[in-house]
Amino acid sequence: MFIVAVSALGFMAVSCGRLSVERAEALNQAPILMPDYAGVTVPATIAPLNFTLCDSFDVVDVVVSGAKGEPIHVQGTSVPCLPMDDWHVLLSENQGDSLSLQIHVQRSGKWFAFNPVPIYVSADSIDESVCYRLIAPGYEVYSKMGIYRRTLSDFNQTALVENTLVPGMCVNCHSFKQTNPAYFTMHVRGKNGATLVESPDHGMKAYSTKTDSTISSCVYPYWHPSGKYIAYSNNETRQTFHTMATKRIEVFDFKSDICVYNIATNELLSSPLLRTANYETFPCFSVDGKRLFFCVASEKSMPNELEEVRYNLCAIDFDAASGTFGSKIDTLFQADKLGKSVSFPRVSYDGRFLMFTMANYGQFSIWHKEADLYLLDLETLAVRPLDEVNSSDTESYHAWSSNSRWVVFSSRRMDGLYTRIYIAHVDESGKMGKPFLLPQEKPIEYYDALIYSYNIPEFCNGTVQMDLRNLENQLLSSEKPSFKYKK
Amino acid sequence: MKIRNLQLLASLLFGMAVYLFWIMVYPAHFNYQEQYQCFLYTFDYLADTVNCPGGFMAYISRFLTQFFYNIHVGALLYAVLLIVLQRLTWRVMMVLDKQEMPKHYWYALSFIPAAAYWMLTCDENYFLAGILDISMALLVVWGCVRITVLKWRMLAVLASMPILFVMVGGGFWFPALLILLFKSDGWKNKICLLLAGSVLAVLVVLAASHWVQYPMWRLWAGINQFRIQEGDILVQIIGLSSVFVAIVAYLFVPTVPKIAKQKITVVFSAVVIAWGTYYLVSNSCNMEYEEYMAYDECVRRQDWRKIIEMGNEKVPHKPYTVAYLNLALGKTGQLGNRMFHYFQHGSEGLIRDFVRHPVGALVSSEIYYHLGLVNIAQCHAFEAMEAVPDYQKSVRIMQRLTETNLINRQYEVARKYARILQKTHFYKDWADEVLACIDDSVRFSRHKEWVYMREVRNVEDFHYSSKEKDMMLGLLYTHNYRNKMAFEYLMAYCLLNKDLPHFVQYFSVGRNLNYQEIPRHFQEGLAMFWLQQHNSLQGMPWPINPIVKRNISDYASIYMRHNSAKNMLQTRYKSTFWYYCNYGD
Repeated sequence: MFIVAVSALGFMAVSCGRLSVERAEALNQAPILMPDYAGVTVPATIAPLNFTLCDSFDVVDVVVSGAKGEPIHVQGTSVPCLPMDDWHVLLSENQGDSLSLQIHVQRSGKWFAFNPVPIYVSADSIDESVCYRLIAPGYEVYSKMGIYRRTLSDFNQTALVENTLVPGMCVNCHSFKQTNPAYFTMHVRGKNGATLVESPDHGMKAYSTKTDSTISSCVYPYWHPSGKYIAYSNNETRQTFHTMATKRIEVFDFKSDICVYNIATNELLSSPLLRTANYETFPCFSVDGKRLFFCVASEKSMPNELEEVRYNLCAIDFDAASGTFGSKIDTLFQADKLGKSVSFPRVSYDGRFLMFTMANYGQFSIWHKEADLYLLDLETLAVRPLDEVNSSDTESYHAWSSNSRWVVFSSRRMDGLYTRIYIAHVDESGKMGKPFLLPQEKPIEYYDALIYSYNIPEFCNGTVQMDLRNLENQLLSSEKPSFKYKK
Repeated sequence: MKIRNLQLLASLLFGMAVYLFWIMVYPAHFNYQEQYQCFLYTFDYLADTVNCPGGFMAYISRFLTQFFYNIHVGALLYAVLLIVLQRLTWRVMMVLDKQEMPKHYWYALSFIPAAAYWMLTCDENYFLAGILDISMALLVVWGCVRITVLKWRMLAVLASMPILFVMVGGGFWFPALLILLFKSDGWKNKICLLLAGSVLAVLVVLAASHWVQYPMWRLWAGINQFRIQEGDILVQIIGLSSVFVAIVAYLFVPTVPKIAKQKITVVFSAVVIAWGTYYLVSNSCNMEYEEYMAYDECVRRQDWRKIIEMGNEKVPHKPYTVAYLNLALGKTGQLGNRMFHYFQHGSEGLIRDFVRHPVGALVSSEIYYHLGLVNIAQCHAFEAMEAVPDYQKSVRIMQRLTETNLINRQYEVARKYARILQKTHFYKDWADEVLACIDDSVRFSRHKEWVYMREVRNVEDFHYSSKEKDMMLGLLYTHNYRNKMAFEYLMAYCLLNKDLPHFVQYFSVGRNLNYQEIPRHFQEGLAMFWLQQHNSLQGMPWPINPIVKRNISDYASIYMRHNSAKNMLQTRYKSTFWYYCNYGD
């Protein structure tokens, strides 16, 4: 008996420790993967889509194969991680094609086969990394937080800046110029608050952005494609809390205006059309830099009429050479007529589309369960909901990849509270692929334990050069330079 | 008895004093310390904790702190660690002195650091890591001095610095400083060590400044000893100075050759150190905070009777404790009858406004939870957790967040928190139960509190406003007339604001409660309102007790006719709404 057992063990060892899948019974159903990677479209450089199975089994056997290249074969009592190098080779060889995920499970010694699951590998490249803020989804108080950079081809996350650097500080609203990290801006709130502006010509400087002529400090930045200007809005913001379970917070503006910062002259530029009693917010430049998109809502009595505040999508001309604005405002999408409200307009970098979030009212769609992503075709001005990526929970902040073929967005679909990052492919006609959750080495354990939300995801091409000690010194300095308002 | 045994006995007596102090004088601090952390038995928690200078000792400190769940274990831990610190100090004193005959009669000096650290632990924000850090530093000194070859000793000291930086953080340079006191090493060697050590210390901190995102001063001072960042330097200075001073004192006190004088030295030094310890510790105790913590612990355990007993024993005066006493009265149905038997702090002593503080937000969260304002309780609980200054998560608040999400049927979030709590030692079973309840409604229905909260919580939406608490309480009560506590809080809120028109207006809303007898203070409010509108008590539409009627007539008579009415009324009517209305708050 002992000899038989030893022989059996030896045989298993010879066959690489892997049980052979024989006479598997077809289950005629697709496996339920967690995260749901079935049918997603991914870039060829994405990190392995590790997953677990929402099913019970003794042993699981996973084969990932494509038309070209060596299949990946793993087996274990839980779903093993997919080997990084083999995964990248397989994806690179099958760009523009698809992979097949064949899963077998063994229960009580018998094998069962799920239907194969496709994973589409796009030929479109994606940016190197994604930057985001990690913060607990709280109300007013903030604990540890930071802005982090996550490379998309592996699972490495590095901190760009954490709020432990200067006690009491809060970091938010980071922004790159069209994914280029050489142009970077970020806000710091708290006792030593400032706005950080970094560009190749300008170096890194921390500014006080509140002026006598503006209603508040500058927020919601968006870089001009030339890198010479940054559009901001000035918002006098408040928040209030709901008492019912399905709602949580409302963030609203008492006032808001838009201005554009000229980096070279250290001046804020604006137009009377952007500084009305109405609420102008969320600026975003067109790709050629000649238009400034933004959201605007009629003034209401706040917070009593909060649920009546609805933002439309508008635009105004901007002349970068003279730093002047056009004389009229165009309304591109009148959401209030539909009883809806637009936020976070973002133009694709090929200039073809504008993606925005739409909710029932207000501007802070991130706390609205009904908030969804919509796409405006800038050629036809047709608007459509992005049903391919929307869920029954919040979809909110979003950003385009540098080649405009990918979109990263935040969604609360996982548990209704903690925002997670999803990435979706966009083809030339604006059709979206099925989005996939930002991969992690052990995604279920990772996301389950993570009590931070992903905030403001932005694609990033390259390394962000952040001189932390310089930043610390500038923030702690009592004499920060101030923005000037050009009257 | 041998000297060594006497010394051990003295150390044990010291430890016993520490133990008794924590058990008898300062026990509620354990609950406070334990609840503002969430030690997880996971690799990620370990990695996250050790990923900063001093992280290793912080990890051990947090591991030990979770056992503060039991106050006896907590007290024992403090006692043992302070004995270890004292004994290590003694060992280091002896090895640095390098005398053949140790100065045993100066043994009391070795208690100075332990006394100083005992004093530091009286601050609720001071962590066990402080004692662990200094003990580790002394262990390194003791180990290095025992290396007999000078060259290797110097190298060992220098090599220990980066290791200590990782393990204990800010005080990593301290052993090198102590080694300079070693009597055997010559001045030249000491200068070399001082220079090399200084350069190395600067290099270590500069290197670390690129690795971790903390201000430079925190890299020098330490990160994990004190909950509030600004206090790091001060506690480090106090702690390290006490060790340095004690060791220097031992090295430079004169030898006492005569036995009789040695005995006098022993007694004298022991008395001075014991008195000094008593002075330091007693002046470091914050008994007001201990009182709040005792109330808070009872609220956590929902031991309402104990709170009322404590209130009877010593009437609380601070807003947090008054609020907790009112909560206990509310939970036991005594608010309307007894609230003015105690000092009242206005409506802020009933329902506190939100403050960005882990304690203040937790107090208001508890009150809102028990009232049935589950969402607001969740909001304040979340904020309380986020407000913890050292960025740790709170196991108690995590429980509350789990409960509120469970009650609100936000099951995925409740699951998430419960699965985190499953990785703790003391809350695993509770988390298992929550997870079982999510999937089993019958099991959920066995938890009367959760069932009740789900029943009474608000389902209609309105925006929370701290200025309209009466509206909020009114809506809460009218949503579910079983929520008697919400009604009584509404009434109490108006009384504490001395707002009788609203009190009377809202009183009619409570007719569904069918009181057999209207609570005494509510009767007092109604009678007073009536008297303000009418010349007599005749025709009052409410069934007011004849005694109340007689008393208010008497009260009014004294109030109107006597110049020294306050003193007269205080003796007879101090525990009435009328007295509060005229003289209270």
